[in-house]
Amino acid sequence: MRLLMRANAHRPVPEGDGPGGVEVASSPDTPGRPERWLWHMRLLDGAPAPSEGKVTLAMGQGRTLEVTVNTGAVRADVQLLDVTESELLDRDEKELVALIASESVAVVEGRHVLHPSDTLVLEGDDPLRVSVRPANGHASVAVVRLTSATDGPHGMSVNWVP
Amino acid sequence: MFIRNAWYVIAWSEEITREPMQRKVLNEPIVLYRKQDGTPVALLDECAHRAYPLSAGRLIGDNIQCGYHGFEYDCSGVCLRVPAQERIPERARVQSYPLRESHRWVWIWMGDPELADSTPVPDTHWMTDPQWDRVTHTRLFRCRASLLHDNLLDLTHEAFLHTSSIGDEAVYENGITVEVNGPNVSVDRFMPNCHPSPLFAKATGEEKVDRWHTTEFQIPSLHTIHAGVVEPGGRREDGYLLEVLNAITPETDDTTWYFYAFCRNFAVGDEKVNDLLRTSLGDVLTEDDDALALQEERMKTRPDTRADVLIAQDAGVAKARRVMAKMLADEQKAAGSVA
Repeated sequence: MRLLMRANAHRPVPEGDGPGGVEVASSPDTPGRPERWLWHMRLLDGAPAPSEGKVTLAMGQGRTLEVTVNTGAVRADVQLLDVTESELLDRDEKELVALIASESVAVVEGRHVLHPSDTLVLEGDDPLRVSVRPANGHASVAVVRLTSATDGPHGMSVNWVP
Repeated sequence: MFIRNAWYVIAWSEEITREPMQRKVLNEPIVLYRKQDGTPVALLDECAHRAYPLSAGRLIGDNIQCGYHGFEYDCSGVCLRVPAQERIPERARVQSYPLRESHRWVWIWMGDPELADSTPVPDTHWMTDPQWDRVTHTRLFRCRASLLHDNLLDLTHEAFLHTSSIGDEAVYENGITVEVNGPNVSVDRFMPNCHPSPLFAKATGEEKVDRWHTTEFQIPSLHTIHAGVVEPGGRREDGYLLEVLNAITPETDDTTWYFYAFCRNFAVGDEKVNDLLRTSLGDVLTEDDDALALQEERMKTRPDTRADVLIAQDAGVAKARRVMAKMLADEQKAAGSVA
């Protein structure tokens, strides 16, 4: 499944919950659901205080991508992908990958145009490989990989809908 | 509670005449009629005097006269005459509502009238474009509006509820792309190299195609399903195209108006195809109405502790619910500030 959330659809980080910013994706998506909380990704104005279960990445213009996980269930890896030509990005079927455009415009699979802060979440059995290229010359895209903290063949898939 | 600052379809153009008609939307009774120049009018269907329905009265020129004691209102809801006395009481007025008439649908704005002018009605031009043909239906569904939104945002139900017409296994065997853009949520599914749905096969004669459907939900009132089939590997724009318009207007908390237009760019003017589609799609709506009535019955008694168990295919449903809840909260907050 592909879940594309435009920058104008992100919701503000709740007041009192660290530096201001927006939440770009979370699971479960709605607070107060009976499912256990698993992870959320936020674009913050400034740098948050480090703590267990958080991984951060500077995104330019003073913003920080913060990925927070339930360490008993999920592991997170975050990298910045700089592309000047088309590159292929692979994922495992049980892995959730989120692509968050940084300061420039990227094109994924030749059709999803990601403007700054647009977020594309990939999960499930399709797609397992996507192309990422800049719309104009150069693009920076944060690549977040969420995998199960439970090792072995019984490790669960990480999904947006828990 | 309903989002009020939005356009909702209240009637087909041809339904509104010089005879007052009544229709309830968002729990409010509305009287509809046309002025002598054809402009449609919407007022609260409740005389300010003793709540008698104005729709049971009569028109005098562009005004409407209550059938009980003769209070006469103009089309902005102002009382102009009380037959039994000269003085018109200050509170003798009824609410009027902005209307927009566009491509055979009449849209009503139930919220702050000042916001209506700056908000265009959604695009439905296929309803009157001569390059397109269409079949239409109007139903009053026996369920709350949110169940219809869920139904239209997750079309995998076609493979189980509509097996003889529009659904088969290709729908649930292929994944989705959900896009959230401001107040719009869309769910796109591409089904390559498969058979058309049974109804599409009858209407087009095609046997092997690429299929797609994209539900675009303009929250809170219109789902436009952009759909079609094309030869495998072909361009969508070269295929048999559909624009299926689903205007969803709450009547009450547990009943919903469904205004439906199935528009196509092929077999234009072919009455046999129109008859086939009208009958088959009418059956589809009946299947949905029956199913959602059952669901509504269960939901009325389900305790809050038994929330829906969502799956990946519900991503669009989940996002739309979230956007709608925020829109409603923002509207209520703004209304509280004004109060």
